[in-house]
Amino acid sequence: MDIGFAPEDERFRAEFRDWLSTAVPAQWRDPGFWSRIDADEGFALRREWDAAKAAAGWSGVDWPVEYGGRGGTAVQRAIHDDELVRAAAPKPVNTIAAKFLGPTLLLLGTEQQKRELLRPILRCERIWCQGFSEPEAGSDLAGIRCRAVLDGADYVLNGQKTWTTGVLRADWVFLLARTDPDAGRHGGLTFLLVDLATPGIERRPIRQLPGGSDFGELFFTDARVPATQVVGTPGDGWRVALTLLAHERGGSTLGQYRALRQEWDAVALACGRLRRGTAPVADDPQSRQRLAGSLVDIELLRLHAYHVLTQVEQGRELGHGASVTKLHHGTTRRALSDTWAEVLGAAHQVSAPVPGLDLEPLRTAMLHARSDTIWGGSAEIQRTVIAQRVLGLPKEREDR
Amino acid sequence: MRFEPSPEHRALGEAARALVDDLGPDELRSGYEDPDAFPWTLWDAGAKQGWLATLAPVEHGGLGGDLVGAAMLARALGGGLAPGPLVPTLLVGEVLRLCGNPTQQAEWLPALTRGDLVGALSVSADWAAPDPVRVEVNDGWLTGPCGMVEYATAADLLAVACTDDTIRLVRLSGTRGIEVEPLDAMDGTTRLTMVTLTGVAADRLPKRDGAREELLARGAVLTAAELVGVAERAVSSTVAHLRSRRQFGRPLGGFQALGHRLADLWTGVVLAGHGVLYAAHALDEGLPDRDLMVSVAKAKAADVATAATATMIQYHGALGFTWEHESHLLFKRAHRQAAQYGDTRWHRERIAALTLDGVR
Repeated sequence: MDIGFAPEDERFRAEFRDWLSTAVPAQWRDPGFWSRIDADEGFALRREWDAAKAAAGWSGVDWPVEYGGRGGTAVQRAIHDDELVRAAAPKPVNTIAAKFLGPTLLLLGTEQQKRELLRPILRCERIWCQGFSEPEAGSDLAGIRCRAVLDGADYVLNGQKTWTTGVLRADWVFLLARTDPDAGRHGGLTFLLVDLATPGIERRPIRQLPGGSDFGELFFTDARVPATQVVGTPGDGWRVALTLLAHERGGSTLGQYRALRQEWDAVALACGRLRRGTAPVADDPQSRQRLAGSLVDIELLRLHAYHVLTQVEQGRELGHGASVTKLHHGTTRRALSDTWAEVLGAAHQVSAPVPGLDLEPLRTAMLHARSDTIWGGSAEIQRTVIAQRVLGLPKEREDR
Repeated sequence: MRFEPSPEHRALGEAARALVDDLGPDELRSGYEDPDAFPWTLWDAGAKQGWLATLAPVEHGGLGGDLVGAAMLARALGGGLAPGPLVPTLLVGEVLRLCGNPTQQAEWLPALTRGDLVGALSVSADWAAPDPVRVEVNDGWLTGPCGMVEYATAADLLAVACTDDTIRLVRLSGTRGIEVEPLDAMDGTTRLTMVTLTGVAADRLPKRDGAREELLARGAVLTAAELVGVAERAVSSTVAHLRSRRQFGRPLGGFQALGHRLADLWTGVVLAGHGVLYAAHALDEGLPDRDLMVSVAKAKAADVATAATATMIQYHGALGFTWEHESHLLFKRAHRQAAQYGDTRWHRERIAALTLDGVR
């Protein structure tokens, strides 16, 4: 048993924390700052900050130096994510590329792709979004209908993607398209990299449950994509997507824990300020039970992060165990959202229930929590993966 | 970062589980409804394997091991449905290790370590009892209700936390003023008794601040470990059943409602296992978050064990409602241990006190 980090990892933490202490402007650390400024202005600030972080050498922590990374370890990346949240640093703008596309390219990309694509991800010169979901392909990802037909040196893309996070601000999209309709549900898919400035692509925002428009729709009408912009081989897109989703499901558990604990702390703080009857909510026995119950699962996420890091350090495959991380994080954050609404009572509806208490960032977060059991493979999909792949229960239908 | 039991820790658990699987079922069944039963065969075999020496110092015949190892042992015994007072006996040893003077340690620890003495414990006020647990000391004589005590009918040595913040040792045989009333506990893998003292002679251990809390914490972690073992067995048995049992022309495990529930429970077992591992390590190392994490571990283990065993009954259908099937053994043990060393409500309240009361 050793729940500490190696001296070189602690040195890394100290140096990064030191850098963060001056790099994050004090007013940005107030969570309310970001909800008070215009969304576009906020994004521009964050993009600039993220690029400066990369320039200072603090991005791509576990990517090889030759592709612009820091050449560190997965453990250091986890420490990086943790410290970023602790320092209340701006939310990264190119997450989907930094966390998912980049590692996938490192595993399956060509040398040229790695050289051309990885650095601009870190420097936020090219912002990416992920084009997986379609109106008829949500949980059933293999139901993709978006067609890519080879025509000379190009694929001609037709179809629709939807619920695409970050689509309005992205420069490029990586997507799955059907290149061979006769090769079975999983067989004829190809993983393509597409410039959103390509003629024949239209984007539309979709307003989300919390009120903003972080996702939207993509329409392709005879959009031409050079056939060289395939990751893996044509027809092998399903495997590429699964490789990518494994990163999405393993995620960065320590950073997720830290963010969730901060949200719990914010709920706890509000419970000290708000009253139920004549006493603070924090003194109400039933509210205390609810809050403690939430914290149990949140702290266990921290321990699960230690477990994941142990597997990583020992060079073991996470395999389908990554679904445990995804399921536990999603259900725990959603349960905190339920707790938040219950313990704060009517006060959870408004952003400033008492003077001096700004609950808007928490309210937005707790509404966003409803999506944590949906994106990247819903909680139900994770349960199916665990039931079949981990527990060895039979498939729901034997005719597949 | 190496957040996992060592190979030695694992081996300890595996050897214990093999022994329990070999000897346990017969002893468990034959004694389950017998109020005077004590699992001597398993007890002696376990003692030979070193169960009771796990935590004791080497100079007193112990193995000088840590709580992580003891938790692996407890998890194996929970999963094996082992009857007997392992946890209270280990804890009486811990009382002596933590508080005893050298003479007391030399007198009691070697015999406890060999399994020659059976330990019983009254440190917790949180068992629901007709009378509050309250043992007072007058001129060295102990008087008052000890509450529910495991195996007081068979035990030799009772450690009692008294109202003057001392812990005292009572010899249960040949001492006057001790009333031991056997209780018909629902869970037949233990023997519960109500113990009341009236002017009883006892050995006083040197006072040590926080000794009672230390024992409660250790008891909570070891009990949580047993609960994880119980929950793990409930999940794996239910999975095996759902894979083989066919209805509607296909295995029951192919029904999504059942598979998803099992996935949640298995996830809970994994997380509760993390909780126990961390809490044991935190106590071994005196980590600053130890109190919080002991309560996290106990609350989660209790919740997942009661949920998993209830689901086990349900998913075995009428079979699971029979006396013959092991479902009820696991269910009853889960509920008994969920209430020991602080039930879930108690631990949640402690978590609240440790976190909420500091932020205002």
